[in-house]
Amino acid sequence: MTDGPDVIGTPPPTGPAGSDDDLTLVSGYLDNELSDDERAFVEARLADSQEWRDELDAVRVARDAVRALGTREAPAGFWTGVTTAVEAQPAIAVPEPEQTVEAEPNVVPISAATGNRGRRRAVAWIAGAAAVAASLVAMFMIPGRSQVRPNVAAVATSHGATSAKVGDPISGLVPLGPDREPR
Amino acid sequence: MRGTTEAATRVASAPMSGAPMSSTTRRLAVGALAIWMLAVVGTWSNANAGSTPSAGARLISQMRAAASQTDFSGVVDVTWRSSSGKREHATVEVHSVDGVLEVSSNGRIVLDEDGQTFVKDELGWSSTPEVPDPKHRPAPDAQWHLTLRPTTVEDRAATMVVASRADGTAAQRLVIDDATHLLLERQVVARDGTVERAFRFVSLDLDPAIAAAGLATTPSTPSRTAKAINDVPDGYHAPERSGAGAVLVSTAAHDGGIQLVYTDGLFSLSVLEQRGELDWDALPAGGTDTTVDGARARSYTQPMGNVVVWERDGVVFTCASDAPDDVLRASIAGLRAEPSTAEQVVDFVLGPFGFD
Repeated sequence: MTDGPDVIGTPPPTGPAGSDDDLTLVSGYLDNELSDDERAFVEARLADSQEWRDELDAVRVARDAVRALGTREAPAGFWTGVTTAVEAQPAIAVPEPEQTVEAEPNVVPISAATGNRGRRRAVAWIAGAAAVAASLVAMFMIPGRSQVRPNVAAVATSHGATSAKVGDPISGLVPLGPDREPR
Repeated sequence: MRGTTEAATRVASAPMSGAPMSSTTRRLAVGALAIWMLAVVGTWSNANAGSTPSAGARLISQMRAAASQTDFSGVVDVTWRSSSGKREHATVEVHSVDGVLEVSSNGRIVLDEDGQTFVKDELGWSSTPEVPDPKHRPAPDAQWHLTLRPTTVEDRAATMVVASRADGTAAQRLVIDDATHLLLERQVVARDGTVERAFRFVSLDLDPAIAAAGLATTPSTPSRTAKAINDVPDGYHAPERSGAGAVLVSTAAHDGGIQLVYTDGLFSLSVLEQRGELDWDALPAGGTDTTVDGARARSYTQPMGNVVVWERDGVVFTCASDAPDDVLRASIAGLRAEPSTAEQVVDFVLGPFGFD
């Protein structure tokens, strides 16, 4: 079952779903992106095969789960970090096209290569799911960054007391006498 | 060494028949023996140099004990340079009775009793968390070259202990009373020779009755003790030595983070690490913008020393030290937090996507 439209007229025996092309067709079926022939082919398979129906359910559940995640605010400073990192990358020079390739009769436009289109869609789903999973890990495992307001005056006083204990009392404490600590 | 080897070879190859050695051979043998003895004595001397405190180190140890063993009362002139370079000045009274040391100035009181420090200001008494007992404290001459010279302060015979950097410039001058071993004057000196901060007794009375009369009332606040910890929490960093080689002598949980204390035997460094994002707007006014290892930082010049605040890798560092600024800078260089386990997991997951 690799060339769906070519076998529409004579449906092959029901086989297990699971190849890349099968997943592509199932995904395209759910997204309503198939041609009439492809749709008829998939529906015939779904009618005959429990495995195809299971595959359809599995893809549907995964797709709905991803779409139900919604959006969440990035933590403070996240986008600053991203833009800083991007700006730090060396610029990529994009060469100007030197010539335009004339279309030849035997060359199939990429947009017409439906098989590749479906494969890319499946890969995109997998990559998207992986990115979502990574984002979930990041959001739930990194503790929220709280604002820290260090008490500079208290640290200075504490250090004087510490110096008195680690070193000598007069050196540590006498400089704490003047009321000149930052507030 | 070549002559020594030759001599040894000749002695070893001398005839065993008991025939007398030639005068040349005898001289070489005696020379080799002398060189060997000098080498042994030199090695023994070097080995013991580190374990025997120098005269300066002994005097500083006596000075540290004297403040709690001597009842006294005096007036001290305190000077320091502000962030703008302006010279600031204040006068404080100091009283010490039965080991209780009190410093007062314009209604502000700092009182130290049994290692517990209390401060009274317009808001009343407060206590400073007592740090755990320092461990493995290095000797004053562990990292500093100490030299002594006689001097006088207010007609009192005294000894000045100068602590020098490796390049020979003075980093600190301590003037210690010969009779009581009390510290009479201290100068913390920048590398360029200017005095960053100093204090000096302008009057000193050793009458216990006078000293006792100057003591304030007992602090009306409970003491606090920082909780010593042996294991540094995940995400914090507590190197055994600071960038300048000072030794970590105390680790405690404090103010939602950890507090580290380092000392090189002469100066000390306090490091407060708190996880989170530094609220720059909440910092007090009067600081100077600076950098620490390329990170934005803010520095405050205080009579007790300098305080530097900065954030790196999700940890806010607040460091205070009584050392000269160049020593403080060297000490805090390289201070950074370890990423927590959770952050390491996320970095591992997000790394391939380029978001680490």
